[in-house]
Amino acid sequence: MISHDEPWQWHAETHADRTVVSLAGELDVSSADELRGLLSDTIRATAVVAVDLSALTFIDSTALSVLIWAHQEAAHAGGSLTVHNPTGHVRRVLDVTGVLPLLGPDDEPGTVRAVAP
Amino acid sequence: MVDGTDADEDASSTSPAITYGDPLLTARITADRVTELRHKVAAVAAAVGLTGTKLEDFVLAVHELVANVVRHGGGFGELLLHRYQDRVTCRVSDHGRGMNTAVPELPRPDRPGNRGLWLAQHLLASDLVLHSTPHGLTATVSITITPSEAAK
Repeated sequence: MISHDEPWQWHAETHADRTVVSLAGELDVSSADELRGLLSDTIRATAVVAVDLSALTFIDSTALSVLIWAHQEAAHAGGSLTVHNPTGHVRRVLDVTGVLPLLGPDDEPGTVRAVAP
Repeated sequence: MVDGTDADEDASSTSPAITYGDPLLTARITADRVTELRHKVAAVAAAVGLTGTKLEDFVLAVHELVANVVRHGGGFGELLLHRYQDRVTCRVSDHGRGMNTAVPELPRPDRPGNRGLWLAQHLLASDLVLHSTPHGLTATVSITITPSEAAK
C-alpha cells in the first residue's frame, strides 16, 4: 500500500547472469539515497542489472540522476544497467531529458545484453 | 492513492473554495514533507480542473522547485498555490543564498544531476520565473486550465 512513509517499493530477482529489479510507486528526492544503496548493492552482486519501471508512477530529477549514476557504476563494473517498460509520465520525463536512449535496452524491451568486457 | 493518516489539512477532501485570487494551498517546505506536499499539490491542482499530462507536468514542476529548496535553498521555504482566473500559479521561496545563473542547460544524458529547474521550465513551456536575491530564491510556475485537455 502506498503511504506517506513508503511511497515506493522494490523487488529483486537474481539470476545467474543478471538481476531484475522492479521499482513501483513514486521515486523522488526523499528516496534517492535508498535507491542508490539498493542499486549499488545489486551491481556489486551481478553487474548486469535490468530495472523494470512498469509499476513506477512518478520519478523526479534526483531519482533520475541515481539511475544515470547506477548506469555508469554498472559500466565501470564491466556490466550494464538498463531500464525497461517506463510508462506514462515516467516515460515522458525520460524522453524529454533525452536519457531514454542511454538507459534503455539496445534491443527490444524485456531483453538485456551484457556489455562485452 | 494516499492513505496516510495526516490528511486532515488535505485541501482535496474539503473541496477548496475557489474564489477570485484566493490561495488554494499554503505550506511550509521541509525535507520530510516533500512527498506529502506533492500529493497535496496534485490534489488541489486536480480539484481546479487540471488533468492528464498537464496536471502531471505541473505537479512535477512544483515538486522540482520544492526539491530545489531542500537540496540547494537552505532546506526550508514556503509554498503558495493560487488561482487567478484560468491560471494556476505556484510560488516557491527559500532562504538560501539565491542563484547566480539562470536555469542551467540540460546536462548530457550520461551526467547525473542538475535537471530539476530545466524540467520545471521545459515541461511547462517556459512558464518559470526566477527571482534571486542574497536572501533567497523565489521561483514561480504557472499553467492555464483549459476546458478540454484534448488541445495541447
